[in-house]
Amino acid sequence: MAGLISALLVLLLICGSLTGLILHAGEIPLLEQLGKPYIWSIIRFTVFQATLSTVLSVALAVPLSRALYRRQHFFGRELLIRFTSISLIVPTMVAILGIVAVHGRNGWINDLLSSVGLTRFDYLYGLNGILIAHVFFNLPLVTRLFLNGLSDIPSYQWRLATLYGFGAKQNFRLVEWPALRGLIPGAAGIVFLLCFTSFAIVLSLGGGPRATTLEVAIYQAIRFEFDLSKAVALSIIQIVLCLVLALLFFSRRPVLKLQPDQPPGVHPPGSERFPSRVHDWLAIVFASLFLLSPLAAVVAGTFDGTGWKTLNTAGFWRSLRSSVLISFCAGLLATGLGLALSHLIASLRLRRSKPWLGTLPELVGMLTLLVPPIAMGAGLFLFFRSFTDALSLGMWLVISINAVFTLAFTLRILVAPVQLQHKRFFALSECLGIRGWNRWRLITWPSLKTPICYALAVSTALSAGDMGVIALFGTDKLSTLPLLIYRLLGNYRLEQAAVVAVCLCALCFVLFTVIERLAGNPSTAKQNA
Amino acid sequence: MRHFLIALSASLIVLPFGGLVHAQDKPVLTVYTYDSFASEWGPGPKVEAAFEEQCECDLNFIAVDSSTGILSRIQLEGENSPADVVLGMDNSLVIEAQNTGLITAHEVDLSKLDLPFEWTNQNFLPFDFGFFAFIYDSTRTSEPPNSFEKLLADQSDLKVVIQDPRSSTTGLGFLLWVKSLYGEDAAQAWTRLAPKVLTVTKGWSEAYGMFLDGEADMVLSYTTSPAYHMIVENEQRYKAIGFPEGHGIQIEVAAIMKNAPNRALAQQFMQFVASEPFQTLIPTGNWMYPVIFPKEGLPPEFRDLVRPVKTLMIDPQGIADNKADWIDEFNQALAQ
Repeated sequence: MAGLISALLVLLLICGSLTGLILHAGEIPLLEQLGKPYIWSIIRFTVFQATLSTVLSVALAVPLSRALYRRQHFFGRELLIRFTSISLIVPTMVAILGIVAVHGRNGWINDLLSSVGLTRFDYLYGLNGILIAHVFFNLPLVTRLFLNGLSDIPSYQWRLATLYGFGAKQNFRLVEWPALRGLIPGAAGIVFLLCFTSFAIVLSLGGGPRATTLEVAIYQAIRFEFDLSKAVALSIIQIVLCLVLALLFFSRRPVLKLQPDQPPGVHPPGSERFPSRVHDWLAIVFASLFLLSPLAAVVAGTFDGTGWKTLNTAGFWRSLRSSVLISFCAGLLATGLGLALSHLIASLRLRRSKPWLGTLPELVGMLTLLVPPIAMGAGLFLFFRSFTDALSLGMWLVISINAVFTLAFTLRILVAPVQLQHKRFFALSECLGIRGWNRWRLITWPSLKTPICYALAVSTALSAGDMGVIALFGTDKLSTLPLLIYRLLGNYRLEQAAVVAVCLCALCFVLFTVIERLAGNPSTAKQNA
Repeated sequence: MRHFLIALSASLIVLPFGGLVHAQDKPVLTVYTYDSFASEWGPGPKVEAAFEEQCECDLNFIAVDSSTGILSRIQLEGENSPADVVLGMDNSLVIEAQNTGLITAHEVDLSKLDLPFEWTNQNFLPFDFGFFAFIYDSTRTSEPPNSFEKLLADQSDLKVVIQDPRSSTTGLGFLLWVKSLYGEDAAQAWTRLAPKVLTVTKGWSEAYGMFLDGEADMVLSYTTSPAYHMIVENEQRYKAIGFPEGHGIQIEVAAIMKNAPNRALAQQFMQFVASEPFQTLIPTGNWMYPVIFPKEGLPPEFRDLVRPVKTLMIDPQGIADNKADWIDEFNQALAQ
């Protein structure tokens, strides 16, 4: 029941917001927009950059995950693996700041070039910058999925490989590749969707009209041109395109597991040979430099001390307060909705007749990744504007939209464990007549607390770092830390932005770690997972 | 655990309202402006202090992230907007802003202003003006292109930063400047300029910061920008380039919202904007020319600034009618 209500609620939010937009926009000049060459160049660029980002992320994740899989003991391995599981919660604005500090014309790489006598060159703004940032976020994600896949290789396969005397190439072709191949469509699908709808990255690094995605064009249509009908038309184009492409990717059911942790695998044979070692260390060193340097650069940016004065401003504390509030409420909401939807999915799947019905609520969850948050925000705002002082609802709108957008993640985390729990306990609890609060207290919470806390941790941290819909409502009075960074960057106060970025990172990390640990002792949590 | 959850749900309900409750004994005047005006390094804080001294009120600046953002914000909020005054749109947006039907007449006597241009609009009050120009660093670039045509024809590896005409009035002003110079051939001019554009930023501050940081050789700004470096930093290296073809003019305006919750206070504020105390804060606060010339004259550094040989301005109605097409033209050329 709660599941059905949640599904309807999410649908209502999505449809309500689009209705709000459409009502205010009047007619939707879909054909007129499609007739403009500029719109086509946006569509082309959106698809192009998403495809390229996906290919790069997936292709680079193969050597990196193999390297991490084969090198089980080296200094920093834990850190790197930890990073792959939390890279998604690194706030976009922080990463952008770091990427500018490393790759900008006055960044570390150019400093290095000029110190050896080469001339500085600009490669950051435009497509390159977008690709760097997208790979920064998605390489760890895919690596994590692949590493899980590799760790799932049964040890008897490796014993066989040893028996047959496979070399590294044969190991890859016959053992590792088959384990990875099945993961690629799912991984590529999610990366593609994330890059397709990428907003803050393109907005900050795209360099204007040259590199604009649909999501950014929608933002600009609403925020700057206030051309709502154009925004609706572009949203429709985005949703349809995304849907078609997502169906292409997801038609083969992906096996995507976002696990809290992974068990150690078996050491593959032959990985101590020289070429393998070179391959692995190159992959590890380059990936570490690429992934960790932006974060190091953000921290280094605070060293000169001039930025710390920003902590004395009321704006900072206001932003911190609303960040905590928004992220926490959105996280709770997303986890609650995700849990309810997962129960619905599980109970539908376990029914004898029409188990495919369970896919529908899952689709609702996925749909949230496709609808542009900005369009949704503007739609809801216009919808509420007619009955009430919509401005005072700004915070609530941000919370509910953030919740809806992290729902896709909480669903991914919760669906599998909830289904398992249903299989195990549903019949039993029905027999014993355990329902309602008691069922939650006695069965649901004890058996699901680890994934629930993990989902809450992920969604809270994601919302804390999000720079989506707040960009629409934000002023200096209603601000979050990511928006504050964006504004400081906009004023080119890089030192202050770096300080806020470090604080935001710390906030996300603390939120994530504390909430994840709510489930109890992490070592027992691992066993339960 | 259960207590924890209950506490959480309680906070979920209560906390978002926390921000709405605050003591209000004085009337509050809400002014929407762009961020660099309201920021601690802009004229905002001084304006606030000076006006609060005479009004027995609380002047509340709401900083929107860009100047065109002010317009879209009131459009989004519509009739229920809490704004009393909008300050910081410019001559390129007045007709569009007027057409929203959200603005009302300011009732300030324009004759007491020293306007070097014709201004008859009774809804928008000019509060400062300036001329668009490219700024370069004379220690890094010895011979910048000294005309628009030379800039477009430049074959060196010159990089400029400009602003997005959709989000920034500086960017929009540049678009109109090019349009008034090249007319039908503007698309071609954009295509020639495109390879020299390092990036198109959302607002002026970001572009200017990138330039100061050495990321670009030239930045689109104002002829008055070097005065800032001379007066505040005692730094002579930054110079504006005078183009013989002429310069676009920007006239920044303030206006009263039709549904201003505090109409009387808004009118008082408009009188204040058109008075000495406000205007003296403009040259060295907003780094533009004031609309009331100070009795003691402008700071001496202003005498060394580039004076445009010709001022270019497109009639506001023409802008409102064609803006969307012109922006499409710009986007299309720069997207190549």
